[in-house]
Amino acid sequence: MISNIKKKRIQGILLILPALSIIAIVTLFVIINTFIESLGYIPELSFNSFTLKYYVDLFTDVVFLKSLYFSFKVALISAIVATILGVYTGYYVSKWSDNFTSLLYKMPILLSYVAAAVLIYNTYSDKGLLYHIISTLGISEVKVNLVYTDSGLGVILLNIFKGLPFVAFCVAPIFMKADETYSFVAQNLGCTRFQYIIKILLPLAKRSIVTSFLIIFNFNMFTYEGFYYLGPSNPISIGVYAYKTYLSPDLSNRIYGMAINMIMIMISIILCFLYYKMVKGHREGEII
Amino acid sequence: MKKKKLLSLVLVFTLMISMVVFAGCENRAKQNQTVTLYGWGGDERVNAWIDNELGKYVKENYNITLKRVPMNIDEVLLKLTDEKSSAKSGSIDVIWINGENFYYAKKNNLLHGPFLNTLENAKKYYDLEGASATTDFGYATGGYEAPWGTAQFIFNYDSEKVKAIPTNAESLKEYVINNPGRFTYPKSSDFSGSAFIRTVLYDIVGYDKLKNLDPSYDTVKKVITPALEYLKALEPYLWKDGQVYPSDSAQLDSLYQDGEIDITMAYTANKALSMVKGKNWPSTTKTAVWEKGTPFNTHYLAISAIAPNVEGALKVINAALSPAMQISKANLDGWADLPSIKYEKLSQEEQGNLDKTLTPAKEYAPSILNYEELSKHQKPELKSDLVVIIEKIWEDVILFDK
Repeated sequence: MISNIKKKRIQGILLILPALSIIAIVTLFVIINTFIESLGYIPELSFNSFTLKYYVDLFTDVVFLKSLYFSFKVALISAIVATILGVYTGYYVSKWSDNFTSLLYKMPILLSYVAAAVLIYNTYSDKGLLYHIISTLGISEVKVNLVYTDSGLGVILLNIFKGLPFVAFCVAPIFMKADETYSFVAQNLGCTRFQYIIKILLPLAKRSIVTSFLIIFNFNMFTYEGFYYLGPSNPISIGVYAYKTYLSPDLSNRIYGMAINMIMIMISIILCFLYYKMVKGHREGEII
Repeated sequence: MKKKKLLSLVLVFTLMISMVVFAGCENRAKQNQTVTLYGWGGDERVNAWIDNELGKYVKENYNITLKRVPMNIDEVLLKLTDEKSSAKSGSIDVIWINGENFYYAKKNNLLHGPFLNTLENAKKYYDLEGASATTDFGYATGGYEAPWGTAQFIFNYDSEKVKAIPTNAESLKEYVINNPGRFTYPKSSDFSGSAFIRTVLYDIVGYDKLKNLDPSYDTVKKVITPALEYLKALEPYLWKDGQVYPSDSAQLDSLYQDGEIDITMAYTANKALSMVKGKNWPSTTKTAVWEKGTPFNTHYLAISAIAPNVEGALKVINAALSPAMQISKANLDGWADLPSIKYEKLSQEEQGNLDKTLTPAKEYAPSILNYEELSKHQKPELKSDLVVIIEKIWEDVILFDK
């Protein structure tokens, strides 16, 4: 006789098996396959030996290192700005009660990255909406040049546009709940508004602020669309570099593409590890 | 109890889905009168021609349903490699291909063949010993692909804005310096961008010096250095100060359409005609070639090594090579692709039809060059591995300043 608990457990596993198997098979298969190919083993293209040559080549290639740095820089700047503005927005959002405004700030989350990239292009390109607004104001000879620049400004704008609402969305419920619980108590004990935010609200939301920062940072670093549509031709981002290498007509370049993929996967795994440490960490800051 | 019911429902549902899937597989294996054609899908006129003309023709004559799958050739090759490593039979039948992609596909045994000499229409209407049937970008085709059409690289410009169109590297430089920000070209990874770079090479270095070059990075770089210096000197005067290059010819065309640049380029000789006709481009748009010639090439149809329907694929390619299809493909109102068929082998009536389709209506005649003018300025393509190396060098030197 199987006990009831065991039975329920098996049932549970069976029920999530279809979904779980897709995730597990795809992820594991892809990672293993990528790793094997990145070592130079693709029998169907007559590459039959294992070597670390391709990794060494990449890490001595100026273009690759530049693109890694460029992606890192753009991702870091946009994640920091998006997190700060997102927390700020989240605080005010938590005070809004009407449905329309709380839906409005979530709009960018609903848009796909490509659509958002087109919006950014239409607004900030040199003959875009911004240019027309400024020139109707009577200021002539303006040069709006925000996309395609090698500072990556267009991409940063896109990442902030998509990241900010996400952070706000993550922290707003915590602020809302905390406000209900602590706001009155804090005021009663003579806490100023500023002290209340810095000493009570932010520490409470610390965990979700850091985790959402990690998520958008990781995503921004390896995203393809933003850099492809709004980024400069030089330097290129690591995602675009991987894709370009992977698609080269000389199929042996595919190994480099796989090695770049593997490097991206490793960085993501490290960030994931940090993320789980944050989520699983000590349970301080729980709202009672 | 409720959970049990739910569980059994889920199981039954899964079973049903898998049955449907398996049944579907079997059906496909039995009928299999569908032929897939994988190739570039970036031009609506080309797509429309394949769907409405070629598709209709093979349906009527062979009862084959032609399924066009728009996909960039690099992705097709990738898909082919993946399928070959994992399955006995793939999903790709016919591939629209040429140049370096053919070279690497054949080298990696991704193609079926040789088959060209078995095609009825190829034997009847084509010069099988001729250059376009035997060599593709300098390398032997070995009968692994059938010549489908020819194309020549040309420049399109707005004659209202560009009074004297540059026809060599020197005059282009002059134009670009005098009109900063009004000219650019796509990256070397784009077909047209790559062809533009070769046009410059033909002018500055010369085709004869390039054609037998040893395909090694350093040798090629040394020989083409003057051209690289030239392109580097152009850079600061290009659109967006050369900080960004359009990623493909579609982006370049839209810049031209928006009036941001004055000159665009294409590997389709008659493109201006349909663009002017469709009112996408100004009616003052004209076509030009360079004095020392522009690259021209043949594009081909090939069959995947693991094609599920080789027999059908052969029929489709045979149809694509037929006089009827070649003439309809050349129609200036449609795709306007130059035919690869041997003119002398056509019947008198067919010759007349071809002449008629190649003559534009009077009001549009100035926007394109006639075939004679084009053919006077044709230069063959370089070997495909050279092309790949040149593209890489351009990226390293011009794009990444290495």
